[in-house]
Amino acid sequence: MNETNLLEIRGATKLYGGVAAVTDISFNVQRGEILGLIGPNGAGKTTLVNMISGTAVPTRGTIKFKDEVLNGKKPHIIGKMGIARTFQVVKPFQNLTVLENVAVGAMFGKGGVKRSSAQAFKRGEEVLQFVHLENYRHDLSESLSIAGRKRLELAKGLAMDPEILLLDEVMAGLRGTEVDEAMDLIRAIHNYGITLLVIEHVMKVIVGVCQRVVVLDYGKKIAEGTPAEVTSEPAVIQAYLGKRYVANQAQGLTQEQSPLE
Amino acid sequence: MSLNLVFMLLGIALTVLASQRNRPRLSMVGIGLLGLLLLLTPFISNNRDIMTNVFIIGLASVGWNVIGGFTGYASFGQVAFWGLGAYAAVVTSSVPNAAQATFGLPIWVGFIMAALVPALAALVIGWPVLRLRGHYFAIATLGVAIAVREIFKNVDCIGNQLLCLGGSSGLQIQPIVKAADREANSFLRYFVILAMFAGSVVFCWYLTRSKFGYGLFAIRENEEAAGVLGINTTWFKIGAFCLAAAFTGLAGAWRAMVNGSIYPTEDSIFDTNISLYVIIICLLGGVGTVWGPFIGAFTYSAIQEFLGALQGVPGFGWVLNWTNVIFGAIVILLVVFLPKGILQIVRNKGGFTWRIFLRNVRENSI
Repeated sequence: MNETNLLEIRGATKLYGGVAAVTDISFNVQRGEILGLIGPNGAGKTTLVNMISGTAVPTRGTIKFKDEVLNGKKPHIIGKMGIARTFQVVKPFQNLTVLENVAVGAMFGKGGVKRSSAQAFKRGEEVLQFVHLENYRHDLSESLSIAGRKRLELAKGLAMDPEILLLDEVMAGLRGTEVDEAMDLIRAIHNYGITLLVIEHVMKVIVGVCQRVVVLDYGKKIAEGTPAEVTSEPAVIQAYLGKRYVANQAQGLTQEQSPLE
Repeated sequence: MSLNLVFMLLGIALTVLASQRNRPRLSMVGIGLLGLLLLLTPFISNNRDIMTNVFIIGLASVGWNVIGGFTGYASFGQVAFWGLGAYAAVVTSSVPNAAQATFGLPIWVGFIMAALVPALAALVIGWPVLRLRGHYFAIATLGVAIAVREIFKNVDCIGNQLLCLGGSSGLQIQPIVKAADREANSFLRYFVILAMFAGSVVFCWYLTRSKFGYGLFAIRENEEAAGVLGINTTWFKIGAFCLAAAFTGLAGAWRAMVNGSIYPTEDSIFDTNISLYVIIICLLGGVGTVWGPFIGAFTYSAIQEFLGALQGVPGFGWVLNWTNVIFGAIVILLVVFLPKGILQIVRNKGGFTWRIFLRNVRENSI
């Protein structure tokens, strides 16, 4: 078994009809790192996450988790193996309370087999404390704000006790201070020993937390490297960041907004 | 006003008390008084079979609540399992004679089969049908119910007289007790059905606190998210469908026992209305709640009883022909103003105000 690579993606391709959403993408996610995944809208980032989590099946190529091929495995099997994800368009269980939402993750995730329903609720309380949602635990999840719902998505994934957590734009729609809080949360999760794959448009987050970055454009990988390497790559500037981002960086301005806005 | 109507109204009030989850003491008082009421009813009531019927249709509704309420898959074909359960019990337990080759096993074996056979059928039917969602699932289950009825109409004997279903001439149930014991029989029946109905509610209470129950809720709320969280959605749905079939099948077996004969027709054990009644009862009480079918069964029967009694009042004879219209109107009003059932009034945090009704209209209109 390859000790450093938790997730190996080899030539992953996804066709919808004749249209390629993702073409021949290969990269590894190393155990214990925070890997950023960036690219313009429609670049295939979410499709890639769907293929890893089993909600979409790759047309070609293989995806391996700890040397085990994931292709064709059902989402619930992949979830139990230790892969958790969030959804870009959040999917809370609206008529359940915040605590119940998280407890469901604790019941059926990797750590869920050994847990009783009561133990799962206890674990849910812990996770809610960790993401600072404990004051809302008995509220219905539909009553949460956008920031709250994003946090709830994170909490549900965390409660599964995953080895890797795939975050699909958990910062989208958050305000400045909320982004800072969420970045602290990502670092805290990482300190907890969980590997992270972070999809994000907010470059401040990518530069701030990621050790490595993979850049997609039109379903293809166009760059891979440290945030500094990637942001100076001409192809990436051309396709995604734009000249203004680079100019602002040169002037030492902080780039709060995503390159697309 | 008939005595049974008083019992039903009291039953609604006490069940509402019993369902007060956040006030355990009030809830215990409610459960205690409700138990007392239901234990005393057969001794006071002049027609205890009417109350028995409340429990039978209530038990079938508990079944629908598991698949439709907890899991969010609205089955429109519960009558298939109702009929299957009835046939399973009769074929197993009815005493054989020259006219029919039944097995004549003890009645309790019949009831085990009445739960088991529909559950197995649900396993086979659910595998393909539960891949559909929403309207498509509803239509498919509707089709299943029609198909099952036609099968029973056309199949007489399977495998050289091994298993005979009687075809279109149906099956008769040999009386288990002599005519002289009819009174005792009716008492016994009342209490056994009550025990099953109450037991099914206790089972659902336990279910809503179990991992399996939370898995079903998650599927109802968002199936894709449920799968990603590690829930085997296929098997959870099939499990819920089997449970629903088992409860409805048991209820169907009781209906057969009370009626004394079954025919594979719409005016007998394959009455399509049953599929609708179980849904209406859950809607009346509160879809997806533990006590919903209990409250719904009382409410449904109380409305029927009230309309029945109204016909006897001078000047209200016309109600006889309008019963179903009035009932339909009540259901429409309910779905519009109280889509979460009677329990919604008492579960409302701000207490009862008329605003609840308006809010529901606003929230549910597109």
